[in-house]
Amino acid sequence: MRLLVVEDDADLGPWLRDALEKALGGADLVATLDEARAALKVRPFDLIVMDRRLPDGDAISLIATMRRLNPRPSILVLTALDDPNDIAKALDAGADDYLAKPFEPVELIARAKAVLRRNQLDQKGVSSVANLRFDIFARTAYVDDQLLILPRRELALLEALMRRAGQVVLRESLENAVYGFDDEIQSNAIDAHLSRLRKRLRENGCQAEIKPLRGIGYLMTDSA
Amino acid sequence: MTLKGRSIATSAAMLLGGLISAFLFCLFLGFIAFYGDDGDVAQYDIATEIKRSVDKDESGRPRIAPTVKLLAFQRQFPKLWYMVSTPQGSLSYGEVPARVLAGKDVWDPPQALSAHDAGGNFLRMSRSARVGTDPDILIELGGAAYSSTEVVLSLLREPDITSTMLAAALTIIILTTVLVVPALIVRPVRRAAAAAEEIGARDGVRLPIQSQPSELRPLALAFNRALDRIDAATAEQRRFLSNAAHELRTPLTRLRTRLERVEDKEIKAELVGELQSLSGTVTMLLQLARLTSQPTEMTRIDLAATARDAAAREVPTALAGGIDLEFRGDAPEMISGSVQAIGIGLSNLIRNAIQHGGAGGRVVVEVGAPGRVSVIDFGAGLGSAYDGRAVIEPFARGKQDGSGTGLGLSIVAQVAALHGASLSIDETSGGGTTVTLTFPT
Repeated sequence: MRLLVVEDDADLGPWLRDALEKALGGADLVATLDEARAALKVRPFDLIVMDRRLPDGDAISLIATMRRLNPRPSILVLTALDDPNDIAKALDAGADDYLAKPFEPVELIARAKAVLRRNQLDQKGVSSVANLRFDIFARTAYVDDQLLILPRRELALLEALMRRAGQVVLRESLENAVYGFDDEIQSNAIDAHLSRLRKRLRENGCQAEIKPLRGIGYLMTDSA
Repeated sequence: MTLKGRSIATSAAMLLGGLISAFLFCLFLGFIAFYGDDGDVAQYDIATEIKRSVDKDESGRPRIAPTVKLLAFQRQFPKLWYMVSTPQGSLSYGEVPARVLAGKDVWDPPQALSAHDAGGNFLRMSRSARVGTDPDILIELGGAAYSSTEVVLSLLREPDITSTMLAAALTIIILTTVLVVPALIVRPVRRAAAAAEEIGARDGVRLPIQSQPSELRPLALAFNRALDRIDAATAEQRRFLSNAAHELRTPLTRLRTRLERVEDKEIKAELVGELQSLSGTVTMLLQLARLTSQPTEMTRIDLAATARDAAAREVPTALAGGIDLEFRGDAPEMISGSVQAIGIGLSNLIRNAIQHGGAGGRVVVEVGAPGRVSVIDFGAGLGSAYDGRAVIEPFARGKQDGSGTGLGLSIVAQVAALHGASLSIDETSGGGTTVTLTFPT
């Protein structure tokens, strides 16, 4: 795992590098867009954590270049600008996530991991929460590397939840994932499937938990 | 004539219609004044009166009992003469010319009910006339001619085909002007107004100048200049806010990272708490500044979806606080508003509820008709010390326990004001606080 921190603040830059290095592995620090471009030419990175306001311009201008790289690095933008328009601009440009300053160190690491997980999901098709692993391409689930056999609808539910692990999945997204256009949706059917899926996960010693949020949706989270 | 508050188009149409009518009327009068009356108009009128005064006696000879008007004509025109003939005989008044007297005993009426001059030609600028009023009576007269004024008066008194047509033409002209001119004047104004309406809250859009009629161009230019100034001020405000955000947040972030080096766990936790509260205040102040200073673009949005997204966004905060966050509301609830502004307001309400009403263990976000969204907590409530107004003032707080910034509700109030929504704060039945926003649908 190789990380690039693009941050011009003399205090924050080294701190970011050290914190990320400790949590995720080797990190490099650059302070300008130019240096970032140079660094990207030298070697590939898995994750780029960058400030938006840099001495030589807005970091958004670099995102397009980064997205064309192969393998594509995950991009986490740090911004002091929390105007919804600014956030939308960063995400539209292709950033995977943004984090508003000031942030809790724990939050930074969690977001970095989430972004990496999503990118891994896109590129390798694997999403994991605690000891639960889901292979998107093969559509198979493992608990502690033990294959989990699931009925069709429960598998579809698990896939929808694992694709957005750590995020709230709205109930209607689950319904869309499980039922086709022609299926008659019974209002409680989803709950029945979910409760069976939950039971099955528990029986197999899974430490990931499906947290229900009444009226909102569900959250796949580490129960530890 | 004052134009204040009155339609320019209507005034212009009335003015134009009046002018056209006056012009045509003057033209008509001028025509009459120029040509005058050669006798035909006066003699036509007098012949009419004679016709009313004459009948035949038993032997078929004409007999006359002059009407008041005929007597008046006789006084008015001293040289008036007339001779009324029937096949049986005749009577006369005034100095009948010898030429007419010569044909006295010859029964020779015109073939139609029309006026002919004494020579038998169709009556035109003659000095005398022969009028066949019925097959048996022939009226021959002369020696009378109106002055210009009298012609006009006569025409007004007894409308003939010419004056009727003239009146009809004037009516049509006035009606057309009144209907057409306002449309002509109003259409470009309406178009400009529609274009101005289109601009709405979007930046950089201007009224088209080239397509404006020249009268509206100065107004459109002035309007665009005003928009330029507003856009410049908005951009300046935005720049200021993002600079302020940067200048405030960067040192806060730096400070937060330095706090990681504090060894004493207790002191560290306390300092981190203080810093988080300060960061929260900064965020809310910036949100409030943004809401009050920038135009909000309103669209048709689903309040239920917006509220559910806001709830989903605050799930991590709720989970961290050990609160069950619940959303109620099945049907879409369409309102006119800004997803971003309402999202910010609801996020603040939900965070407020989690922070101050967390004792109840759950927070409910509920959407219902019409355009209503409530954030309900089951905590201690605000207490009776605060009425609705005080809680909404910036920096007012329910509890003086140091948590929270007291800005959340004023942001919500600002969001409500932007949307013309009403904001009410009530006690949840069984304890707690219910904050309700009701949007106009």
